[in-house]
Amino acid sequence: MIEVQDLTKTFRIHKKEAGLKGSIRALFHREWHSVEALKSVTFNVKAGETVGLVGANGAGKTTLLKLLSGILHPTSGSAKVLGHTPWERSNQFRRQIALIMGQKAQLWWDLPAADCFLLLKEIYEIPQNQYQESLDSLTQLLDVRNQMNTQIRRLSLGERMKMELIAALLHRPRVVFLDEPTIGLDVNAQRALRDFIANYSLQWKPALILTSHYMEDIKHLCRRVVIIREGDFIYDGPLSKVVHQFTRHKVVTVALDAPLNGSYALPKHLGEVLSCDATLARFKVDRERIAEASSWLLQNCQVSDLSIEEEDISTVISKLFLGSPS
Amino acid sequence: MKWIKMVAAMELKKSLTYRVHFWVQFVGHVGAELLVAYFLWKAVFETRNTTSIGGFSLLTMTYYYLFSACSLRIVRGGEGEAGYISTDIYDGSLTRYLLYPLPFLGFKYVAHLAQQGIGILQLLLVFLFVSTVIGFPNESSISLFTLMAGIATSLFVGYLYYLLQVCIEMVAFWQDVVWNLMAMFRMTTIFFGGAVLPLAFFPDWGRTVAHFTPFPLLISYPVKTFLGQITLFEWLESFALFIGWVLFLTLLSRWIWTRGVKQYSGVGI
Repeated sequence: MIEVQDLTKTFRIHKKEAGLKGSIRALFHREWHSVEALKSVTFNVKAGETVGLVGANGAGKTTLLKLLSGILHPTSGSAKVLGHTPWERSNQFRRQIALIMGQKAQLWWDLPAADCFLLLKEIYEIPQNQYQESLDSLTQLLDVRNQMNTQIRRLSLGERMKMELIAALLHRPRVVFLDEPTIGLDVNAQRALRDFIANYSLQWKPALILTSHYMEDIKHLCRRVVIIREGDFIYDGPLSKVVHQFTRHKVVTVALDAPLNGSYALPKHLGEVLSCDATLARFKVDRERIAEASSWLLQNCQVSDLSIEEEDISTVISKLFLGSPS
Repeated sequence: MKWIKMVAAMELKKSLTYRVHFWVQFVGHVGAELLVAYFLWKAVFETRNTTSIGGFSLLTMTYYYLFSACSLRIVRGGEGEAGYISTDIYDGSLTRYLLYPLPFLGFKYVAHLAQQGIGILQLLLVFLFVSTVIGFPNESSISLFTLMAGIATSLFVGYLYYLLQVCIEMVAFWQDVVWNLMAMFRMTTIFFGGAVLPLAFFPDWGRTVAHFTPFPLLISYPVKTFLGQITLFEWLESFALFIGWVLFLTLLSRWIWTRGVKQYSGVGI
């Protein structure tokens, strides 16, 4: 459904020195520099697949979504979405996709949602029965029936986001791009939106690319994740394997029967202490030596409980954003 | 193509949502301009101690300004949706229109047309009020026919104004701020269109310069039609010029759009 080959996007941005002097100088002479927002990325997404696109701010996530939805023209490379070149923006292509941006209202600010939806019905040429069916189901699932006649600008952020989702899904797109749909929402609203997206995906099986800074969104919705750093894909694969691929360690936590005087110490070759207090300690242990380290701890300490965990995925991904682990 | 009806309805709803704005725009644009022009020309007529200047009596002059203010309002279409093209580009709202399966410039023109409809309603209200209060000049050729012809002329020259506006607004693809260009465009339209002073009062060279621009078509042409001061030949000659400008500007706007949209970066998102 989505086929991307060596897609590159470079922006030309002018630099201005800070302060009044810089502003005056910029009146006569401007320095320009190029920023490579996306560096020759290649990937595919199948129908029914939900891909989480994660990366730090400015990594190139939104640029990629804008390219795939036809808003931007690439510097080089090619892409096919449903067999169409996105930036040619044929009506047939646009009728089958949706882009939802958490940070940007796309509905008409001064109109109530009901009017916006009616307009979209005509724009997308949605048959009356399909429109009514979609609208009833979406408004019920997202619990916004009572807000349908309120001006968009008077809605809360959560309500507005729900309306944006309805607007984008009314025409049942086959490809959906979600750019930080839960940004700024409270925990309950985030959960409601996540559940809704999961249900929608299950029912209509679109190809879906989701960007989010909330790992809960990614964990809940995506089996496959793409990690992007400074315009480069550094990982593309199952979410479950991110931790395995990028960390050599596991975390072993032991609880003691009785408080310990002094501190824990593992033989150096087995691992290192992450934290410890009188009755609880955490160790970072090479995954190859887990059995050996556990056995040593059980033999040498009065252990009442022992658990072995992978490093938290959010922590791993955060480190990846910063450039480590490599 | 049902979206055309819906977009027009949406634009009307948006305009009518803010009723204070509706009446202020109406009174401000038409009423205030009319009052200023009336008292100014009354003073000129009294100073000169004459009943006719350049073939205009005070009453005809009043109607000239009434129709020029109303024509300008109709032709500009209130500068609603269409007036926001540069803002759409600047703040990234254009993204929405690039996603929807409809022609962006067509969408904007339909919104412009709807605004023109509101302008016509305002014209009819003010015309009814003024003609009831001051009556018609003796030498008047104003009739229901000229009123209808004037409205029709204002409607279609509105497309020319829209194209000019769009070409300037789209400069925002390359330059973030274009309001100064728009301000220059509006001032030029008002001056060379004949809204400040009828073109008949311009020196010969001024009229010649104006003739080579599209501006007289935007105001002077519909106003003369309203006043019944235009022959069929002159009307057709102006219409032919209008067609020429429309063809040229349609091609130009498409050329700018095709290139501009490649520059678009959707910032502000």
